[in-house]
Amino acid sequence: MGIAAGHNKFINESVCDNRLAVGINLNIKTSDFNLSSEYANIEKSNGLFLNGERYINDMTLRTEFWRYGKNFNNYNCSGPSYSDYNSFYPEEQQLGFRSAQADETGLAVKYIKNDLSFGLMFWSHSHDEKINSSYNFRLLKPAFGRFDLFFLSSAKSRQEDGYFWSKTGLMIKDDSLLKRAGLKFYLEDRSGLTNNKSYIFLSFSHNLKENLTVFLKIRSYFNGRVRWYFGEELISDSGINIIAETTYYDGVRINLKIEKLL
Amino acid sequence: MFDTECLDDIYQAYCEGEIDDEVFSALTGSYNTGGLALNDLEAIGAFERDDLPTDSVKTNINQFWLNFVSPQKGKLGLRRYSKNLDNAVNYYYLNWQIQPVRLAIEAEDNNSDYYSRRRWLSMSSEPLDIVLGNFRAAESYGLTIGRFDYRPSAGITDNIESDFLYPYNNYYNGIKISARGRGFKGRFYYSKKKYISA
Repeated sequence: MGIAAGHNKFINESVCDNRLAVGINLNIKTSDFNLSSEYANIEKSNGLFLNGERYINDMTLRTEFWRYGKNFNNYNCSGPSYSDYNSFYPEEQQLGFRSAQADETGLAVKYIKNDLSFGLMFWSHSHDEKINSSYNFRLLKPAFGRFDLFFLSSAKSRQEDGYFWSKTGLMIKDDSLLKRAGLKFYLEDRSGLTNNKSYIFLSFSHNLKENLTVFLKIRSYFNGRVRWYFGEELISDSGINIIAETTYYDGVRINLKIEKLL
Repeated sequence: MFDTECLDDIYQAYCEGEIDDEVFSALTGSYNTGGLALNDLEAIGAFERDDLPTDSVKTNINQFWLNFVSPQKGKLGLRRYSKNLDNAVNYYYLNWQIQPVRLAIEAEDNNSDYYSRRRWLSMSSEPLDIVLGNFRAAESYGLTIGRFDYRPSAGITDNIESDFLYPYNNYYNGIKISARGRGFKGRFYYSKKKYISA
């Protein structure tokens, strides 16, 4: 069990905003289950997060629930929520601060077993009658020989921006040059198949020397454009690391990192 | 809930300039698969490793002298992000430690405008850990005291200055003291941020 309290003081020109947040958290854990929670209060508005996990052999069933009051505006809150990155404006100021949690109620269930996971999530806000939902599916399965098959899929049903995507392909486990290949479909509620988010992908990697790796990742989008991403990673025995990556798609981006271990 | 806290971290790293939008896109894509855990953020690539101190630093007085005699801890480096070859931002950083003391300093060079970024000094000796400068805080699920000290989300974005005392970042800025006892753990945080208009 734990207790936390935080006092925020925000001063801007003639306005001074004081907020006191007080919370309590509980955790009970055994080999079979884990129950944990946190309750917080700020400016007479409440926030609650509950987490329950049940372990049965190699299976985990996780359930989460959260509910935040309409005025749950905490300068330092990172409480779990859908994270829409809304803002609140103390004393109607122009300076807004992040308030993703306020006014949100949600429920999530997730099933995990080995390389299979499946999750459902629902969340809503009091000002919006619609209940948003999303699902998430992931599977990684040895296919044949040195190949693993992976299948990922996710969808979100939401008033403004619903989508569905699935990504499937093969991962190659041995030292071959080609490490990964597959394709991704991305569909938006409004426009159907989205060509600039759907692509075929190939991923290559090769160890030129023991400490030097080069890689190349290619995405060929359905709209005909190709994104090239390549680079190298050198981790030398002398303690000098040089890592570079280049992306050629929408212009050229080059990132470089040089460091010396002391 | 699909590792939403992780998405939060990715978003923060993106706002901080620790990752560019390509990496941001890749990470949020991985997040959507539900397979990305918080620690993966550090493991995915060289450009998004975080050097902020954590509570896991353990040491003792003997280790202090051992390291003092033979200090082989730390790194000095440069990260450079450039777009279309004419818009480069450089980050210089130094991490250095002689247990139980650790130091980290980072500076940004944006078209010859220099800014202080994360910097912190920590000392760890049972039963106390003390961090002076930037730190992260995390109490339970973060409803009361969350991991970030959020900067304004609107109003000032372009005209901002950052100095050494008040660097413009999302981390707490002040002092953090952690203490452990028999069946007891306590933490105290004091953070002060200032948003200075240019």
